[in-house]
Amino acid sequence: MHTVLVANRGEIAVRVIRACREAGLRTVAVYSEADAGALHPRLADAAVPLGPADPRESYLNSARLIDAARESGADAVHPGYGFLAESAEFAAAVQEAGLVFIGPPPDVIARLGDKRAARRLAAACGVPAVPGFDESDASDERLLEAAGRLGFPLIIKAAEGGGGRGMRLVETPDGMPQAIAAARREAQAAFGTGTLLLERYLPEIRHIEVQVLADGRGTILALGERECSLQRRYQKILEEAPSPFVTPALREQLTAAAVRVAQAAGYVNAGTVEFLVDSEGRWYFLEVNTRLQVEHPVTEAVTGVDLVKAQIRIAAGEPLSLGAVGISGHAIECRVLAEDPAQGFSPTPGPVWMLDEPAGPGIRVDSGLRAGWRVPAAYDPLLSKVIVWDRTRREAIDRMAEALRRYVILGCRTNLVFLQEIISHAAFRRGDTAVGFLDRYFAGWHPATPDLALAAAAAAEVIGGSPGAGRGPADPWETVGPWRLGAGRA
Amino acid sequence: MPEITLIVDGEPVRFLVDRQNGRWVVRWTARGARREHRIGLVGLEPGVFLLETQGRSRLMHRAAAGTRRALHVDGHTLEYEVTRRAGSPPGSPPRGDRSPAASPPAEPRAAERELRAPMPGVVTQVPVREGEAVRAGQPLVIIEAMKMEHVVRAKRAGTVRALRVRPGEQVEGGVVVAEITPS
Repeated sequence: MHTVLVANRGEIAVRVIRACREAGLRTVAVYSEADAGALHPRLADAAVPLGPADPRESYLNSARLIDAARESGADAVHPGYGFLAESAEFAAAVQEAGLVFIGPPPDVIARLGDKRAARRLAAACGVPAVPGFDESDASDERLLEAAGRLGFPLIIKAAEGGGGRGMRLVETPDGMPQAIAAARREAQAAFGTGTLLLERYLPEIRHIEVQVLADGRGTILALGERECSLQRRYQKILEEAPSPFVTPALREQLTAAAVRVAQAAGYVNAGTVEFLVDSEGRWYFLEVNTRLQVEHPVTEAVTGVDLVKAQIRIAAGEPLSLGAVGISGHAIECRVLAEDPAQGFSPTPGPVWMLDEPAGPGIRVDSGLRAGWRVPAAYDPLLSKVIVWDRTRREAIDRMAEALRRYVILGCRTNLVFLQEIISHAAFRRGDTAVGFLDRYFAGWHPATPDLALAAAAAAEVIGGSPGAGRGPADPWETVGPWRLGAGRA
Repeated sequence: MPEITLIVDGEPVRFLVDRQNGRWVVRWTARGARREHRIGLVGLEPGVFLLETQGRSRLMHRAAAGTRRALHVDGHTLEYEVTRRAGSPPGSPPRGDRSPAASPPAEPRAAERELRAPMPGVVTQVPVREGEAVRAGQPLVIIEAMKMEHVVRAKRAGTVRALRVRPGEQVEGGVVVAEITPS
């Protein structure tokens, strides 16, 4: 293996390119028209344009990606997460083109990507799943009938998808027809199939997952758990490792179950086994994600294992030689999203006028941002991730609060202020972070504008008055106007 | 004394900015209450300031494009617009009647008649037709951006007077997508 094509965009493309460089591999980035000015094409050794912004014509265009790999002399493909990362067809097409797919074998992706088959596989090795309805004939009538048996509230999910797309919580029977229609539409758009399944809704639940690495030569490692309960509309926004809830005994059960499932599935490469855990510590199998997770850095921080480099080595046929992997300290990740908390978290694609990202001991920023770029509307709102590590959870929280406080993104609105409110909330500090956290503590929350910012805005206008009237969005360095060093001094 | 009017959350707020003992004294009125802040503020380089209050300093960042501004201080981001630069007659007091609470809301009727896209995105569905009677809350236009669906709904009952978009069309945030004649 000498050249890796990174079939993705944004922060994960940047992350994978960085790992490839460290591993001494040449990298090829791909980009759509909307990403021509993005960060990731600039960092790779070569960059191949894919076509229009629409994902179906760019990052989801399997044939185009394989052509790009051929054109650029790549001999391996890393899919990142999302897009084609969990497409068995894409993995197979990559292999048929004579390239190495940096991920699990296509048949493993297919087996575990079918959530119904995955639940049966887990049950067969003594790992129980959440009670629900997951038969292949999931017509509206059968879903309604099954819902009657299961009782409410319940959750509708896309049978062949993940990441919360196509997912709906339904409180009462009246809500079912509308929720089924909406979930089908979203699932169809996101995954190309509108097949749905039902799961009983478990209150006070935690979403905890175990990272596994398997080398296909008999070694399967579980690298501890990640706590991913903090979610908004089924999208994770903050993850940590280890979980503040998991006891050593529970950790042992979850990691053993994850290894059993990986073994039964014939798993190879990096994967994640997801569980739901209730307040009593009862746990259920949820699904297996056959890809690198967005939140993989928290595991890297507490184990010291570079998961992307491990993926590359496994794909190159090397055996895992990590020795005993321990868990040390505490790591937290916050997802920085192009969403405006003041406008009901609606997406806010837009220009990046100014960017100043935090850094320092124990602070890592995985970012796809670049000043002067415009965040496109065509893709998901994840801009970057702030990951901190410290010896204890308390110290990690303080470190995160400070890192978020000095993260400057101007032009494109973000959820940074919301993340700061969460991280400094007393309930979060206590570790009371079950899935209902935001509903319980942040219902009706709205960001406040501090007086200090208003006062400073007015004074800055006097100091550095920027006429520039009528000029469109431009380089802030040009339009910031006259300023005088020491203008504020007596 | 310089007077500055900033448009914050769509409402004009008038600030008086005074200089006393090397500090800026900023006065304005918000929600009927008078505000006064004393701050130290020094420009360090284009777009970067040093802001000091109560013995603590922090960097402040500001970007400008035309009359639009975005400012970052202490983890908070503020977006606003400037209307004019002052040099207004000295001694003119901050006017309480310009505070957000006291200002009349901007044409509430218009917001009911003209429904706007809340964000840029692609129109995925337009489940109504021109001339159709709609009830309050009925979906008019469905827009998708960043894999999220946003439903533009009728604010009150009426008739669809005009639909300005079609499925598959790309829309900018803030543009009118549908017009309703309230009944």
